[in-house]
Amino acid sequence: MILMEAEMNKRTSLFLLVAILIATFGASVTQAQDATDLSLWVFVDRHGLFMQHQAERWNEANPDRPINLTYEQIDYTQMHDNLLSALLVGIGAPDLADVEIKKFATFTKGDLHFIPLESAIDPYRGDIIESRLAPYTAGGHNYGIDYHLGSFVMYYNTAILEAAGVDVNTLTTWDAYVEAGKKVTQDTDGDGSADVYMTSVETTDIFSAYALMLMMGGGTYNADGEIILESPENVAALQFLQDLVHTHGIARAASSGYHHSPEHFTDLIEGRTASLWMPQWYMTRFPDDMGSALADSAVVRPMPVFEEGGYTTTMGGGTGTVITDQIDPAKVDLAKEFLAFAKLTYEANVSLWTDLGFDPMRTDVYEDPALLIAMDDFMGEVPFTYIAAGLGNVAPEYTGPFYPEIATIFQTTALYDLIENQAPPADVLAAAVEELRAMGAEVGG
Amino acid sequence: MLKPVYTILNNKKVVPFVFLLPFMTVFLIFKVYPVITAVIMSFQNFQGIQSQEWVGLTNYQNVFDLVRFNQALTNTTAYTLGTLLVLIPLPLILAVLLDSGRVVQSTVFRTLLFLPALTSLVVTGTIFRLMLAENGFINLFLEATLGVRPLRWLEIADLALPSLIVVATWRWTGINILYFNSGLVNIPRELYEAATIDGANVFQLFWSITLPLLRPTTLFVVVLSIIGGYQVFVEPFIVYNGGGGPGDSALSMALLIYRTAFTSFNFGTAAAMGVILAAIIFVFSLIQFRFFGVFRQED
Amino acid sequence: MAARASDTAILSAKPRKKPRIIVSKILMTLFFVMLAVAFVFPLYWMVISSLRPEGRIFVDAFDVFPSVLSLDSYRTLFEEEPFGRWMLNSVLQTGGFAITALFLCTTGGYALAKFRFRGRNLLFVLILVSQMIPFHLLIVSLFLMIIQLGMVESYWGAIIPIAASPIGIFFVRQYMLSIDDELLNAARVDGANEYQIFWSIVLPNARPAIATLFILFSLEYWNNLLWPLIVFRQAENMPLAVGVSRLVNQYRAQYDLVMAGSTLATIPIILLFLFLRRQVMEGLAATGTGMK
Repeated sequence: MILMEAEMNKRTSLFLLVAILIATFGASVTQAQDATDLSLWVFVDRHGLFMQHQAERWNEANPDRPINLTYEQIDYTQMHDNLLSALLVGIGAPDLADVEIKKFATFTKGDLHFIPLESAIDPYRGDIIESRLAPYTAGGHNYGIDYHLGSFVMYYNTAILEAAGVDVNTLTTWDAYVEAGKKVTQDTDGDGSADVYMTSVETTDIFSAYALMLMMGGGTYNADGEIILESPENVAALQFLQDLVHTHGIARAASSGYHHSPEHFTDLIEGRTASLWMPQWYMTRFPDDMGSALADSAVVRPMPVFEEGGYTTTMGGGTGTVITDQIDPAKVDLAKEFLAFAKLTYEANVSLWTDLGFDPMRTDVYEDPALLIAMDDFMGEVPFTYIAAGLGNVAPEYTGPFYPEIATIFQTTALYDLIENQAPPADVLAAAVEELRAMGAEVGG
Repeated sequence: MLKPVYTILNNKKVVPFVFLLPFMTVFLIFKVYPVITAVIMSFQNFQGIQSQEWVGLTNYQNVFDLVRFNQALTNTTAYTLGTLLVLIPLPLILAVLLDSGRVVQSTVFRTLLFLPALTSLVVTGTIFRLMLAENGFINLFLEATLGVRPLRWLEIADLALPSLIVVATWRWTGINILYFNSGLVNIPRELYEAATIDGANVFQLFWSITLPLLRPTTLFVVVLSIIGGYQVFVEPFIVYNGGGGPGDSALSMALLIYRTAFTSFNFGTAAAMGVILAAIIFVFSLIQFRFFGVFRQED
Repeated sequence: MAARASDTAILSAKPRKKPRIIVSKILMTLFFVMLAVAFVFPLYWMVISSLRPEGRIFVDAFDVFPSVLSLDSYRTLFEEEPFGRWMLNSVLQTGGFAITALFLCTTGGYALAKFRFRGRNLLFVLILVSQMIPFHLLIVSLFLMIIQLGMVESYWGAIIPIAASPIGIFFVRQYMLSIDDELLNAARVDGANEYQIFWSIVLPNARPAIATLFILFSLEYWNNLLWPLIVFRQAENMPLAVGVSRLVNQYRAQYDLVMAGSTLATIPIILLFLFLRRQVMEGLAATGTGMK
């Protein structure tokens, strides 16, 4: 039934949807409206709360087909491992589950145990930034819907910039950013090494590198599903990253290697790092992990661009909610419809910002007053204006079966060699490709 | 009717099996069976309960093609050797000193040195994860006392192994002291007295009496260290946030097996790695047993 | 086999006192004082870190005698996490595990020690060798098994699969070898059946071994992470070690809470240990000499 449906064209599946809607509607009237139980696994508690809130909304809008959504929050690693094992064994999986972007492809190897969502997504396709579906697509089917766009933005500490005589609003190109960085980076205690850096780059996580690779037009996979690690764009992006640290001397490796380490948060709080680029959702770290310590100096600005007319930003991270094939077949359509309702409707996208603080995938909500609110954590500015301003030309991110392995290589050896050992970018990427081939990946060139 | 059952159950031939039944049931179901499944899996392309295909030795060939496998094997071997080099001589010497009668309240010290062994590995890993940070206690202490510039323990590949050995030393020294201590108290003191009368000095006593007589204990500790060292997982997992450390310098075999299974979804290769790891541990232990002459005795 | 010799026995084994000995005694003791401080310090550091105000763990890393202490981390731990539940789970699961493992190991160890049957030595070696099999080799199969057996989220699922402890049965066997066969034969002559003998003669005679093993098993489960981590998904079923470990992940590291949780998880074990110190230390030491 699932396969059949996937092969049908959009129109027929819409028909089918309507037919099923009527059928379920009729059925539920006779069945005295028992709420349908749906189980969900998440690894971030807020996601679970959000979905429960959406379930309440659903029940108000569809009193004839109520659902009873229960969620379990499980640790990130454990949740994915458990889900994988449960799908392998054929029992024990929930109806719905969150799958993180780096983990999704793991589930596409071998038999796929998720339900295609096209029929539920199609009605909204025109309203959303569609490339956001790409990371959760396999074999032409959409299997997951994200919580956010995750567009990259630049976070600045204006106090440090002002002290160095830099106006944050002039940093629209990477050239300007590098020049400003040279003024900002300073050895304040005179011991021969800088104490304040313009920025920091991750050596054990992917965000710093992937953003530049994608904005230069590179990335891990192209739209045709081919691995493009050794592309000139990637080489240039990694060269730029390495230059920030070694040639220009304006960046340091993030403390403990990544932008979520407590040491790195301390660096930001203590004013040792003047700026960094991370996805929009990193905004929530300012109150959550830094105790709003930078409320009087932190602002959000669009990413600098490499060239006029080039990509203005790209997307980073993400979590797609999927429906597993262990769901009771009678619930599939309701679950699909609810999932689209919870993530893709106008109201849902407004709550993505108001409840979760995430940038929504629907562009038509960007003017909504609920999004344009001033925030105390960012000097009382309206951050969303700047987030939206950066969305002119979003570089898409494509993924494929070896996306998780590529991320692992970047997180473990590639970026470490690039930044700490100053290995040439071409060599780093060649080594990565060689390793992927040994793991059975087909890489052209 | 009850009588025959009773007689059978009390039969000398049957009794041992009745006593063995509970242990063996659990042992066979939860140890032997999974081992067999894992070994079978290592010859398969395992994609789930419903889909497996026989691939012969392919998984084993793949394993040796992987750069990471060689790296993990080297790391783990270096870690095991490193822990052996520290955790055999150091506790041995400390145990001898504590047993020499020249330390006041030696039991108190044995107890204090043993306390780390009571903490879980997660707690141990977390404490050191924090203490080894660039602005963490250890760096600040080294700077204040020895004037050493802050070391990037958690961020530099060359410091990964030393960091993990520091952690292991803290966690295991006390317990190894206890093991050695138990061997020491079983050495008949007349031997020392006789040798002292013959004019042997402290080092000669140690070399010709203490060391040889501690052989069984040393064997036990060495084998435990090899088994533990090759299976190391939780410490790097916690200290390096679930990763293999800078440049995968702390990638252990167990971490790689875990990553291969759950990130790369390659259960066959993961199982093959597990079998190889088991073989390595087994061979090393066997060599130890031979070396220490265990197989000569049987009660 | 047990380490019953006391310190005084060793003291008297040493060469006669010389005047120099006082000095060396002082130096040596001083050395061990420093060593002990170094070994206990990380635990102390854990406790003071858990008492720092929020966000100060990294900033105040070198402040060994903090003037400002706060119980915020503990409050948050109990308010935002089911910490009391974790404690209770840990106690119940640890007790359950220790008793189950003891039952398996005493019965099995007795059979291996006191009966001759075909394949006994082979079986014994097989059990010992199984200790060398890396747990990660088994994880996938074990996990598939407990799902199929419906043991996920259950105490039994966490306890039974790891209860057949090779070290445990080895320990019991070694100890029971020392029980006099005459004792058992006398009871047989008196007409006791084999199970009465086990219950009323063997077990009481093995009491020291059982007590030691009970503590060792408790310690093992209390600190175990890997297996319960796989069995439990719902926070309210987890034992302490698992609950605390999930406060840190790649994108959220609440180290202040972890330090508080670790302190609360470690203190009961340390107290229990200090209370039963002699038993534990001698028991542990005995496993070391067991392998003749």
